[in-house]
Amino acid sequence: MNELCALPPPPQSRAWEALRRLALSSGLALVLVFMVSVLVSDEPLKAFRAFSLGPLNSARALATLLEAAAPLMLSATGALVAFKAGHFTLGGEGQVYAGAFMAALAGAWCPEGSFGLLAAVMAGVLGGTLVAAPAAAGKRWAGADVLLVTFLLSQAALHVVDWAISGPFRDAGNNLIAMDPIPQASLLPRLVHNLPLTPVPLVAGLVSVGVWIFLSRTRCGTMLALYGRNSRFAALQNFPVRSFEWAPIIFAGAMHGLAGAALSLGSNGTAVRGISGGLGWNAIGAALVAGGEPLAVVPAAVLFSWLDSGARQAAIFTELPPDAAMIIKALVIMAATAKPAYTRLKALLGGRKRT
Amino acid sequence: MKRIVFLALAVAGLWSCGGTGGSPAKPASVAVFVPGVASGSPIYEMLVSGAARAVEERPGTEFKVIEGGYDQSGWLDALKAIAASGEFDLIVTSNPALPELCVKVAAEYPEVRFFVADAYMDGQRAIHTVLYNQLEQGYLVGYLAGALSVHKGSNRAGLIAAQRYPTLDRLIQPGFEAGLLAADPGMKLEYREIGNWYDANRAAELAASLYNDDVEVILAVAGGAGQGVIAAAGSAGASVVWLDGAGYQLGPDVVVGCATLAQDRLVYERVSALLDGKDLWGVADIVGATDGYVGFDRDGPAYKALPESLRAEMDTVMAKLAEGKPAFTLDSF
Amino acid sequence: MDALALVGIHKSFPDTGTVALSGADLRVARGEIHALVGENGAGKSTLARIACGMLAPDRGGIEVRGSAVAFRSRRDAERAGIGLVPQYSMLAEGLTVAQNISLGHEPRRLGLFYDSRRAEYEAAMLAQRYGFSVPADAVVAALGPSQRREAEILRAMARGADILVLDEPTSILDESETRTLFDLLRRLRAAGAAIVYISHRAREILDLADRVTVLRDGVALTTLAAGQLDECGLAELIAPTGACASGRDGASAPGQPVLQFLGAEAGPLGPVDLVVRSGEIVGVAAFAGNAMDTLEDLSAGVRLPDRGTVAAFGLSMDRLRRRGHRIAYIPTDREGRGMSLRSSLRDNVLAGRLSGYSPVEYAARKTPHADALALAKSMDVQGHMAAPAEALSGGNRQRLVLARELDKRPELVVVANPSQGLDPAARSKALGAIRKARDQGAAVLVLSQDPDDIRDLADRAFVLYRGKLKPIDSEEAGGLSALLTGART
Repeated sequence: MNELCALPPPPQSRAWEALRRLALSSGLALVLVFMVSVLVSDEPLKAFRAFSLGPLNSARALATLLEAAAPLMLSATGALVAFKAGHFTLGGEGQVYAGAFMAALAGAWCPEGSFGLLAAVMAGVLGGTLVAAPAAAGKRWAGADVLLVTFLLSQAALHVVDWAISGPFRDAGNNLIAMDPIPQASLLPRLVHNLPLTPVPLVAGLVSVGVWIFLSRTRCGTMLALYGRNSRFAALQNFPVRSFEWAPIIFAGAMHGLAGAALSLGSNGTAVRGISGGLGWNAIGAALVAGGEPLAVVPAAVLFSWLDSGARQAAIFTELPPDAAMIIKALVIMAATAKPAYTRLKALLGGRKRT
Repeated sequence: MKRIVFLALAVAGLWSCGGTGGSPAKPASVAVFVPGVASGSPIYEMLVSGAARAVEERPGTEFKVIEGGYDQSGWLDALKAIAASGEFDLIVTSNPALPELCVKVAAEYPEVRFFVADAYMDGQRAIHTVLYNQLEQGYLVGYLAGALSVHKGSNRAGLIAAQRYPTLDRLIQPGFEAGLLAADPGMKLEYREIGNWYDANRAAELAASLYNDDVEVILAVAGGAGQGVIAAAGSAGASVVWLDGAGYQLGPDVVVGCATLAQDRLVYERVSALLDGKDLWGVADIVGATDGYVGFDRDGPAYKALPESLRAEMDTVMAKLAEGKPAFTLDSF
Repeated sequence: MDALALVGIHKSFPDTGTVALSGADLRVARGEIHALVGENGAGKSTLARIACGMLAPDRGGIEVRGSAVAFRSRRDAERAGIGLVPQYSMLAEGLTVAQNISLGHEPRRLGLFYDSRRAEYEAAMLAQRYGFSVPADAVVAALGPSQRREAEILRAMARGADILVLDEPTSILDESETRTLFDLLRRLRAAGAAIVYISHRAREILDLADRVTVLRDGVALTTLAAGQLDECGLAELIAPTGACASGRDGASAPGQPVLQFLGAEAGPLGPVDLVVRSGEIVGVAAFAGNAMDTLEDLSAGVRLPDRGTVAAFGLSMDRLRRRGHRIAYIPTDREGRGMSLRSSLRDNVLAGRLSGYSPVEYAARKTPHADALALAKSMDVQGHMAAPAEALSGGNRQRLVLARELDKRPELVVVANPSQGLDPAARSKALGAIRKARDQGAAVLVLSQDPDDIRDLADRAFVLYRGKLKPIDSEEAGGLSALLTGART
């Protein structure tokens, strides 16, 4: 059938759309938290209050929340760039784990101090990149399916790093299955005394701003976004499609590796077995809830961390299982990404527009 | 916009109804952190029961049990969350790995104190630890395993562990080997590792392969995964020795010996002392057979079914150990 | 009494905030072919869907044979005798014509078993009554476009429709098939059917319709007898831009060879020998199934020949773009090759210019935004710059691609089906822009299934028939049509 008729009204700016999506997601999360509290806990109001306010009830709690969200901001930004380029990578988990492992390795072996810290950070980035590299090369030279290859490589990386941490690189003197401790001087420094706040949240914020500038204010970023939505069109417009085939995947790997390094160089002080803890998967969720907007990744990551932290707090005060956070996260992701539901919810809360 | 404002007001109303979470700490409030799952793990069940009994005798004391699950990488966050809640003065836990994590938490939450059983760390003012002399514990079951193996015509015994860790490497296994050799100098030890504390199927596979290879007795140091060893023993008509109690209930036909730790008594005593204000902070104690914290449970049906001579030997071993013979001296760890 | 009357129809779509119709009227008499025309986005489809029960109007009334009706579904409209022949076939490919016609109303033996013989008989009788040639027992997948149209019309009539709504029925037909369809429609008219004919092809409308209703901005502007109009006048009614040019103007001045096919073969195409020089427009006309798509792919460098060579500026096509030559490509598949649907109109229209901005200039956004607006205006692209391209109508998408590609001041232009989806005024503008590119020295290759495009543009013309090119010496309408007719698959 034929065309539209009169001119539609101008669309909302993407920033506003992203903020509204986040606000709706947060509101939905609160509603779900309350419903779960009612269903599972004997003291639903107490559970609800602990869940929602617990992570925010002091400067230390807020700092902890930001600190926990920071690696997720980094990995979600990486995932977002890959998604923008049309590469749906599922390799985040293995890339984070490899990054954590390499950072711990370098941190423990290199001379302690700033040099050790820098070496550990770079090693972490390298670790994530190495896990992503075969998928990038496969896409560039063989047209490999990024989704499948990144997932398989990630699974392999998880097993290999697990073996490495439990086996040849295990700290025999530690009752935890973990690597050698990183010297204190090589760990991430505290920004404020007595608060568990390192530079990572700031770095993550800067990275997401940088990505936003790249995507919205540079020619290459515009080309990348056009390529991500129609690679054939981009090739016909003479865009550097060969670079776009691999570079975003590598960038995502580097960001996940950096996130892994942040885990090892933070309060853990080394790489503990299982340290990635689902970060790679949460990154996909956060990128989706952010609606593809780099600046929205920061609040989306904070939302996810708040859910995790809140569930832990609620579990302390009530019978609410900590896994409740996972269920709520899944529902929030579904709602934020299900367009019909989102459109209807938006219409319900925003009212209908008229020309 | 109106709807968003209404929603926010509703949420604020709910928040204000939610009780007094976050109020200043009460005179006494105890959280028991189980680094794993209590059910099915005797050492953690005794941790919980011991602490609960101490708290029951002090009315008005808050008490909560929080399980951390098997993922070790999540324990630090879980401990931090407990400390961050502001609800608990004392966190009680048990695991050799926990003191290091408690130190990190204590640095951020200096108002919270920690008691860690089955662990050793001295000089940390926020932490009190008590370690069991598990050389003795290993020795007891090692002697029984050795004696029973010889009785059944085997010169090999097995040790299946969840993972390598210092307590196993430096206490349990050496003690077990010493017991085997004390029973018979020709005994040899076969070691296998599962890789985690919960995969019972893998444990069963490893145990079955040992039993099929002339091993008659296996010591399982594997937490929940140990049930796989018991299942394999049942299929092979072989035997298992156990640590930390409740082994007989898990496998009444196959668990022939259980070297126990009086974890419940220890935790009860120490938590009571701490709640009563005794200054044990920074102290790391080691307790053993001479104190009565390491022992042997004679009440297992499979143990009672053992030949009289074997049991008589075990009685002698136990009596001598209680006197400090052999002397497994352990001043620090 | 009108067979069908839609009076004061209002319709808006709250989800997108679009107001499609603002009091549109349409009255169709028995025994009449009534054309409904309008610019892209004027509301033709929406009005047709309301008439067929697929949409409910917000306000306004529908009368069928003088009685007021309110349709809740397409079924209601079918029961009222209104049948829709959609633009894109909705027949089940794997079934026969008779099965498609009887779908949902299957004749049954003993009330249980599908009576295929009866279905075929009834379909054949219906076809014979109106002089349709499509066989009732033919599987749809094996039918050509014209016969599929016949099957669609038969299906509507089998449900008792004597009011037919045809939406762009000739969009997939060649000239001969179009004439056959027109004969059929005239027979139906003679039998008393009321036919609503939606199209933007001025020549067809004037050839076929009795009356013409022009929609503009959701309102019926006027209803006139077709005899009162000519092409120019119709185009001015649809969009009063004054751009009522048709036919060719300007002369070509061919220069150096730019695009050269030397014995090029690929799949069903070839061998092809063809030269397109700078400053000339070479037109190739063909119908679907004659390897036109392969010729397009080779011309645009999307595919390399299996044998022979295709070169531009002396370079093979795969190395061409890396050398920085300015090539404009307006593809048939504009959604798949010509734009990024989910990207904004602004980004799509600027895609050809991005490399020309400095980083600072682009980041500041002022110049690129102004340029995008100017580009869109140059081809009257109607849409908001920040809105995704998928919100654009088909005609506006075509205009977007034309605006962007021709803005490159190309040295080589490959344009396929330049007027697809364009109303007469827009078509005129598009052809003008292509001629301008030629006048500025570009080598232009026009590939089209619409002979009018070739007639109106080409300095030299060819016909592509079964993969082989044949030059056309005469510009006479009969000459081109005859060749194309002879080239029908």
